[in-house]
Amino acid sequence: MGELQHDMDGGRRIDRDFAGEDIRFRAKIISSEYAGKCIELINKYDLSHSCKITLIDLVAANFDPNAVLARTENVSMRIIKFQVALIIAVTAMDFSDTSNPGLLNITQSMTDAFGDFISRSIGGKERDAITKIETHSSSHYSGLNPQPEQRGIQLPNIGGRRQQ
Amino acid sequence: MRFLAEIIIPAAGAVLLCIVVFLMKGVLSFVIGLPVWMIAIAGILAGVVIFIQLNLLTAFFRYGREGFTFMEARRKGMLVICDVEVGTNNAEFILGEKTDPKSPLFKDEKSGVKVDPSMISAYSEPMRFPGGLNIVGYAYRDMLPQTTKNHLGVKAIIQYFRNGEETPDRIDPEDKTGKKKIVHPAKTLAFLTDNEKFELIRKPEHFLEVDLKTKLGSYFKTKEVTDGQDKRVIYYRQFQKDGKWFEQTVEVPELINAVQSMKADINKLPIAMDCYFSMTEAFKNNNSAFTAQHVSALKSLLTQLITEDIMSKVNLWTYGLIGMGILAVFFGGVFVLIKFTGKG
Repeated sequence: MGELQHDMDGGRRIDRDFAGEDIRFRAKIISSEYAGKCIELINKYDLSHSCKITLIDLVAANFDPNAVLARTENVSMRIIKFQVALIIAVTAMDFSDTSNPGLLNITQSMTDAFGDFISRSIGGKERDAITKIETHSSSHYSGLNPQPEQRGIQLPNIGGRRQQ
Repeated sequence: MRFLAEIIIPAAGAVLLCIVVFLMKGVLSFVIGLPVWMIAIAGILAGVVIFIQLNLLTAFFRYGREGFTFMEARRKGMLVICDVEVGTNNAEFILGEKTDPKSPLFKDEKSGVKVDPSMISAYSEPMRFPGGLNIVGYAYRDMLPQTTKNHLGVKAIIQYFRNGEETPDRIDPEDKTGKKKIVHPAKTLAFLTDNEKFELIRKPEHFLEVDLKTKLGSYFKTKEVTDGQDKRVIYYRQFQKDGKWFEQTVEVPELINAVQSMKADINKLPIAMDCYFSMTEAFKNNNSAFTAQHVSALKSLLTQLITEDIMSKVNLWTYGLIGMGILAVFFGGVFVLIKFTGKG
C-alpha cells in the first residue's frame, strides 16, 4: 500500500488513473447532467432573448455543484425558493413567452429535476461524505495509515489495550 | 311589470288591509279604544310608507347595486375599482378597501393582487366623478390599472399600425434611379400580430436582432443566398391571395430599421383626445407578462415558505420531552405533598 503501481507495457501510473476516475466520479455526483441539456433545450425554444438569459441564469445558479454541497435542512423550502425565483423570472419575459406552452413544460421539468438534484444535500451529507473520502484518500496517498471507520456503538476502552 | 309592481300590488295590499280591519273592527276598537276608520287610515298609511321603502330598497338591490359601493366610497373617501374581464367584457365595481391606509395593496384579491396606483405612480389619474367619487380600471390579469390616457395611447398606436398598413408605397425622392420605394414601417411588419409589434417596440436595441429572428422563425423559412462573394440569409414565405401564389422575402436589417423607425414615430405620436376608446381593447393589448395571478402565486409561495420555516424550528421531540418533564415534576410534587401531609 502506498507504493506506486506501474502498468506493464505503457508505464502509466494506474493509481493516478484510479485517482482521476475517483475525481471524475465525485464530480459527476455533485453536478447535474440535466443542466447542460436544459440549457440546450432553452436555446432551441422560440423564446425571447431576455427570457432565455433569465432561464439559463436560473439553471446555472441552481444546478451548480455548490447547491448539492450546501447544507440544506429542508428540501421542500429549497424547492419553494426555486419556484419563487421562477415566478420572479416572469418579469423579464414577454407575453408571447408566457403564452408559449414550451415554457410551462420546461419550468415544470426544471422544478422536478431540481427537487431530485437538491435532495442529495439534506443535512450536508454529500459534503461530509466527500470530505471524509478526501481526507481518507489524502492520508492514504501521503503514506499515513488511516484508521478504518468503525461501525456500530463505540464503547469506551477502559483498562484494555488499544487495538492497532 | 312596472304597473303591476307599483300600482296593482300596493292597491291590492291596501284593500286587503281594509278587509282585515273591517273584519276585526270590534276587536280592534275594543283593544285600542279608537274609531275603526282612524285605525284603517293609519294602517293604510303605514303600509304605504313601508311599501315605498321596501320597493325603493328592492329596486336599488336589483337595478342599482353599484350605488351602495359608490355611496360607501364617497363616505369613506376610497377608490372604486372597476374590474374588467377581458374575455367576456363583464365588469364589476369593487370598493378599494385596504387593511392599512398606507398599504399599497387592496384588500380584494379575488381576481389577483391589485396595487393602489396612487401609492406608486404620479401618472395614475383615476376617473373623477362629482361628489368625490374616483374610479380606476383594472383588468382581471393586471395588478396595475390603466388610465384613460393609457387607453387612448394604445388606441393611437393601433391606429398608427392600421394606417401604416394601408399607406401606399412612395418613390424615394433621393434615389436617382427612381426605383427605390419607401415602405411604411408598419407595412413591412404587417405579418406580425399587434401584440408582437408592441413587444418589439419596447425591446432594448441590442436584443432586437435576436428577437426578430425568433419571431421570423414562426412565419418564415430561411435560405442562404450568394451575392458575389457574400453569403447572406434571407427569410421567405409563400402565401395564397386571390387564387394566386406569392412569395415574400424579408431580411433582418430591413426589419430592424422598420422597428426603429416605428419606435421613433410612436414616440412622437400625439394621444388622440377627441375619440371614443375601449377599456377592454386597451387591456387586451397590454402585453405585460407579469400578471396579478403571478403576484398571488408569489404571495402564497412566500406564505408557504414562512410556514415551513416556522415548522422546521418547532422541534417536537424537544418540546415533548420538556412537556413530559413538567408533568413528571407536577405529579412528583403532588405525590410528595400527599405523602408528607398524610392525606389520602
